[in-house]
Amino acid sequence: MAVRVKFPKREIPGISLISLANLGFIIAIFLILAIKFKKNPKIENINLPVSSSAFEILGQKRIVDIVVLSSGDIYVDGVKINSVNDLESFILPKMKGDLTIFIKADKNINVGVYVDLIEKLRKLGINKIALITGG
Amino acid sequence: MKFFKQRKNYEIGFDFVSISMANLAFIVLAFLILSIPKKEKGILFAFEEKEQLESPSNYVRFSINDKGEFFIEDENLSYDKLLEKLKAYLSEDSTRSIYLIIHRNATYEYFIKAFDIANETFKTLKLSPKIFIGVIKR
Repeated sequence: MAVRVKFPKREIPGISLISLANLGFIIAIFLILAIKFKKNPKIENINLPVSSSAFEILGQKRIVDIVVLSSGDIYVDGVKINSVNDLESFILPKMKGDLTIFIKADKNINVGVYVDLIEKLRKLGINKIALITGG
Repeated sequence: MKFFKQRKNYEIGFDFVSISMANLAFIVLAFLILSIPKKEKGILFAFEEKEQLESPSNYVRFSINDKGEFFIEDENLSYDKLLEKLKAYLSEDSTRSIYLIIHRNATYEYFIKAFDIANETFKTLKLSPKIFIGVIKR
């Protein structure tokens, strides 16, 4: 007696590329977030002055963040610069419209350091400066 | 015996159903996090164009030396007496401005403190603030 066995029809395996694209996208987002929230311990340990004139600064178009440490070292967007003259390379490419520079300066720096910084920024055409305070 | 080379076929395509809700939520959340503006407190300075800069005249001289001592019109005053003194000067003549003169070697903290007092003076007298800032090297 002959028995006829019916095998199910094999399906062609499919590879969905969308999962791969998803994965790549998620990794990219994760990397961007990690970079955004990466903290530089040197920059974070800063004593900001307390001010009663301070208010929440919102709606300003931010170009760069400048941090001045108590040692007088200046960091622009997390990168240390040797002198205020190096500011040009960071700011000039981003100059468009009404822009604000955010400065976080340690309360123990000399006013001279701060003044040199402001003078340079004004020479570059910056007219709006936000001094970030603590407290 | 015959050997057949097995031939494999794969379908490659985009299956949009594969974007799960979790994935979508993660992406939306990430974008939201990236777009949240930083909430920071501070003082916003809007400088005038250099051509429009006016020289201070009819002002009260408020200065800080390199040791962090405060002076109003050359009178050395303790920090808690500054506000009253400035108010007295501006009550006499409300058209006066405050000229804040700081030594280069004074600390930034003192500059902010002096600015706060000058600003507070105008605020309590309900006047629009007119503060000039100058820096001295000697």
